[in-house]
Amino acid sequence: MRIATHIIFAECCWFATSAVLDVHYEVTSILLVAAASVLPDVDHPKSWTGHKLGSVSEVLNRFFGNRSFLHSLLALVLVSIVLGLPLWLVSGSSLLATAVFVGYGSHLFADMMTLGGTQLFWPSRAIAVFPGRDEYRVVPGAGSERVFVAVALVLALLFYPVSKAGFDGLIYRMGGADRVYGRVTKVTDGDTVSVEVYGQIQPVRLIGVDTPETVAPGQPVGCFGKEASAYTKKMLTKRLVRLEIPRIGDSEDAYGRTLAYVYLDTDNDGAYEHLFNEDLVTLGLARTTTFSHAYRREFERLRQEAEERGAGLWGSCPGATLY
Amino acid sequence: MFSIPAGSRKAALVYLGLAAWRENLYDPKDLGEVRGREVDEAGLQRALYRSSIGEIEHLIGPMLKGRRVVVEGRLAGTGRTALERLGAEVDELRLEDEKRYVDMTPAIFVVAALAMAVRYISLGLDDQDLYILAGLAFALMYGLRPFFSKMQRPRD
Repeated sequence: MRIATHIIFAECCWFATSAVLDVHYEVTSILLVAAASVLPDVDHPKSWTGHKLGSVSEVLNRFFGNRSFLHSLLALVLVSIVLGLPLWLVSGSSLLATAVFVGYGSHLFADMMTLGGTQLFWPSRAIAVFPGRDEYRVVPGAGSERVFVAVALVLALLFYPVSKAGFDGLIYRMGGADRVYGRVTKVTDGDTVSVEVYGQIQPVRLIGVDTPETVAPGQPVGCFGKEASAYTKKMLTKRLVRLEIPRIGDSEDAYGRTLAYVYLDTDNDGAYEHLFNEDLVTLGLARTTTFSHAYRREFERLRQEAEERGAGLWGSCPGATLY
Repeated sequence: MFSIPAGSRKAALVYLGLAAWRENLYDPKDLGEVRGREVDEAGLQRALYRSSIGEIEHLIGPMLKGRRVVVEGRLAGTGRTALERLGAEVDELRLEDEKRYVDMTPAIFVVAALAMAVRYISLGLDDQDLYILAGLAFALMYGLRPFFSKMQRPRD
């Protein structure tokens, strides 16, 4: 298979992995996946990777042959340890190690789908193939490879938004939201406000965030609760906001509060695009809830970053736990 | 003992028919396609290929019972089963450089089936994200169900 085919398939696998395992990734991991996906072809001197490495590739080819050791599960494990483990230790996150594993593994899976198959269980010489019937497998360089690339590309484009928003987030977004404008009349605590909409005052609970308690009856004031409450008061009191109430799921919580995203017009251009819920997470003033909603993954990622920075309650409250 | 080259079920029966003829185990005129004429080996081979599998089996079946048939390679499809049903002891010789294939289709489907099982785990965990994923896996498995047997490698 061509190098481009392997890279496209590897990215498709990476987006799918990210969507399924809820992995947050950056450009670095996308590039690492692509690099790992071309590594197994080192044993093939005529491949792009083999050509770049020259004599190293020829030596490997002489020792093992093409699609043998470097295309096996054993090599997958070894490469993941040799390359992935140092990356894990340096970055402090398993993300890059996972990227190496997925990139390299995708190459083996793609080659398994070709007519020649691959010696997946090396040192056994048995050739692993999928699907079993020869006529359904890809012939490298032929029209079937172009079809394979097209399918991988379509799947990659489908998985990309899912990897960013999650399956649930995507469905919540597709469901849409009702938008209303109102003025904040009172801030109860960090995550609860009262908003006057069409002349009626409505208690609103911000979706996806949970600030430490300050006014809950019978509960002590939570660590960093006052700061969170003060910030919300400073930002929202008497301010005109746009509320977004998702059409999917409950519109009210058990206490009769409307569940909504609160948007602010920070640029004074009339476009209420700044999501206040997100600010609370970014500044470390709130934990994230585990309930499904449109921005669950984004909030999780921001919470993780805030935790790493030690922002807000994550730096000031030693016993701070997740929701 | 009969020694025959590898091939299809029909080819194996034709080779066996010729081998049995060489040992004078039957009269070629018993074969309908010979039409009562005298035939040489090439003529008999043509007649055997023109005959139906059932007719050849009827003719050489009694001669194969309890005999050892050595195949220089592997019989394709149901060749081996067909000979064994006639009572022959089939011994297929594997070539040293012969490729052995491992069909990973069942393994891939087991993974997909596990993803389907996640549906119930997600219900227990009340995880919507996982539930949607399991639903997609279920749809995929259900859609591919008719192709499952078709995708598998036929037995060598």
